[in-house]
Amino acid sequence: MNKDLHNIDDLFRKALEENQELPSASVWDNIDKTLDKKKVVSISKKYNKLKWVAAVLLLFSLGMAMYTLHIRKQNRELVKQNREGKNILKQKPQNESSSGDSSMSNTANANVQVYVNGHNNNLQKQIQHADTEIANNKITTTENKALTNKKDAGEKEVVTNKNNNIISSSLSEGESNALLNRKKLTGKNTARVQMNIEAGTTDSLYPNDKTDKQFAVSYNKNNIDRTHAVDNSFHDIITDRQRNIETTSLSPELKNDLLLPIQNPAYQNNNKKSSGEMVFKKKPFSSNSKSIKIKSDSGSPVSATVFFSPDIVSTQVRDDHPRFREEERNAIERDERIKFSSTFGVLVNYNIGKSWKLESGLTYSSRKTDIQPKTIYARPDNDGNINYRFNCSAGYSYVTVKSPTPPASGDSINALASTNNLQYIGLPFYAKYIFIAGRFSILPGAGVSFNFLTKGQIETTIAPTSGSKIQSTDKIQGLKPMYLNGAAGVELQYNLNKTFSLSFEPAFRFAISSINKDASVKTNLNSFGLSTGIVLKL
Amino acid sequence: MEQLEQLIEGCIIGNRQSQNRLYAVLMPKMFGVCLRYSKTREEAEEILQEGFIRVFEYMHQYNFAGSFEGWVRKIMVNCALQKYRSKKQMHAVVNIDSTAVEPVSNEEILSRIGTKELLQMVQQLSPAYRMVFNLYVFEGMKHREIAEHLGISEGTSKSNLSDARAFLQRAVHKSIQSAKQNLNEV
Repeated sequence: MNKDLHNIDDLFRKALEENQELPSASVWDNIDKTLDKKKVVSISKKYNKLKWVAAVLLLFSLGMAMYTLHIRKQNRELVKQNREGKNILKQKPQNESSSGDSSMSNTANANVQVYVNGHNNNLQKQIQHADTEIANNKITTTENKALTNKKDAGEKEVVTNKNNNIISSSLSEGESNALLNRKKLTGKNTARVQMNIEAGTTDSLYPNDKTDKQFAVSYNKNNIDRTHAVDNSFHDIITDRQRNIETTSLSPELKNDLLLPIQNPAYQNNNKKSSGEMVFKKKPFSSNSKSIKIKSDSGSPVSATVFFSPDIVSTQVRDDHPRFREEERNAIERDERIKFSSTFGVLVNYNIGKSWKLESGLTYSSRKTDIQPKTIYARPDNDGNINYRFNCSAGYSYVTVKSPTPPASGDSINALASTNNLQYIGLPFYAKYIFIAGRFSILPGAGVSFNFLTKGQIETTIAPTSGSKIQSTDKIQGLKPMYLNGAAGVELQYNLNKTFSLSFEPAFRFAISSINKDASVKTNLNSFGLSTGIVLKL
Repeated sequence: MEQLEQLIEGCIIGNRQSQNRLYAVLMPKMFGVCLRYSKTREEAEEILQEGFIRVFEYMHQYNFAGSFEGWVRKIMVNCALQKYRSKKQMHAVVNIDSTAVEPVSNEEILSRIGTKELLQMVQQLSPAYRMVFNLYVFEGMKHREIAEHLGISEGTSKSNLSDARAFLQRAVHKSIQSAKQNLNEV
């Protein structure tokens, strides 16, 4: 019988070994078409790195474009406000002069807009050099027609009542442009302050009125004589009409540094006594002043969000040249259930303009998957040794089981309930659009996240045919060190106060690349997360 | 030989003409291999198509060390194996007649039964039997290797081979008997 069996083998071997037949012509046509498609795919793979570079450049360009737009918008606003300020300053004196108000105690309102951008330069220093500046035509005087004090008969001196003395001082880069009515500082601490100073609302801005240093300017109606009473230091320029300055919230730097034209009550007295002299005084700001209104729309564009997000994960598994049945997608997927998945982290937000926000930071995500008991088979590992191979959607690991005889290829063993644990640190880049509705802000946005593998582990219990159960913890192989995912979501923020906001964001994260590369399957991780966090405005 | 190397080099750089010519050279033999591993002609064509696509795709991995034909044949067999694994396999229940078969020499059988008929017999085997029989008889694999490739135990492999042989033996016997009857009738 045995001989017959071998005869059968030989019979078929001889008959069919060299058997040749011709397939239909459609086979080559199909091969031809498929090769064309593969060629396209291989070209796209070839330029994969270039695609990444292009994506990064695109993101960078987008960021730069948004930043440039933001700066331009800001500049336009500044220019607009400058113009408005100038118009107000020009119009006021005209109105006043036309009304024939020429008294020294002119209480007409002057709206002065002061913009402060930058360094808190000590204006004292500026003033110390002011005499030089003034000598260099840094003082522009808007004459308020004539203020003639006719108390002293025979003497026709016009004392200039400077309603709107503008010192256009270009002291140095980043320093004040206008000392009197306009001040613009530029520098690191960008703070834009719009200050409306209204005369006539308070009388006690400068309570410590001392007339120790004076700057007198005498005017003729047609000729302006400027006399500098240079007494070591020139302090300030005083306008006698801006006696009343209303302030509500002057920033400390302004309180310290800002010089405003002030009305010196002593000057009035002096003026009454000795006509033709106008006294400019420098007075420190009253710290308890309540009459200067500062409208500050400043605020750091940076904020930070601490968040936690429980995630619902779905995996997309597809075959990637499995060699054995147990390595196939169906066999792997059937046994796996996601147990727990969450993400938490800190994100730093940067506002670009009023409508856009860029977000980046660090996230940490953890994912545990339960694997049902299954049979695992001994296969040659990467070093050529035969070990039991545990396949899962994340990759594979080789379980070493101590036994007197090493396993042969194809031998099987039972793996009881197992868990695989994946942990990633993410580096997200998101762009969000801001809609503000009262205390609520709605921020739809999208972006990408680079996820770097920190841990990939399988914990399993092996039940050998003889002996006790063996606990085994092995590193998952076949995982990519980094994978990329995209994200899209809508963030809802509720402003608790100026510093804190509550944040809630349902977000969908979808895989752009798979998490594994050398495994029998390719797995894409998609998730839906409900992120809850606190936003701290820095 | 030189011509084959030139064709291979042409295929490596993706020259479609070289690929076509190489296909034309190897296709009849490879289709013969594929036919043994499949139940129908269409199935064999699918394996052949997939196999040649892989050959062209991984051509750069061929190191000119061994027989190129052997390398291509291996790819065809792997494709057949993958196709077999991708299908949910049903354990076929085959009735094997245990009655003794009178011994007949191979030469006599071959003179009476054509290659086509023998091929059909192999194709009539259940997929599991066919795979084991092919791997053992034509590829010269040991039962351990077969078990590894098919994800079965060594014992199952042996059993499948034994059943496949018995089935083929009966089929050959039947075929000879009917041939004899035909001759007698004539």
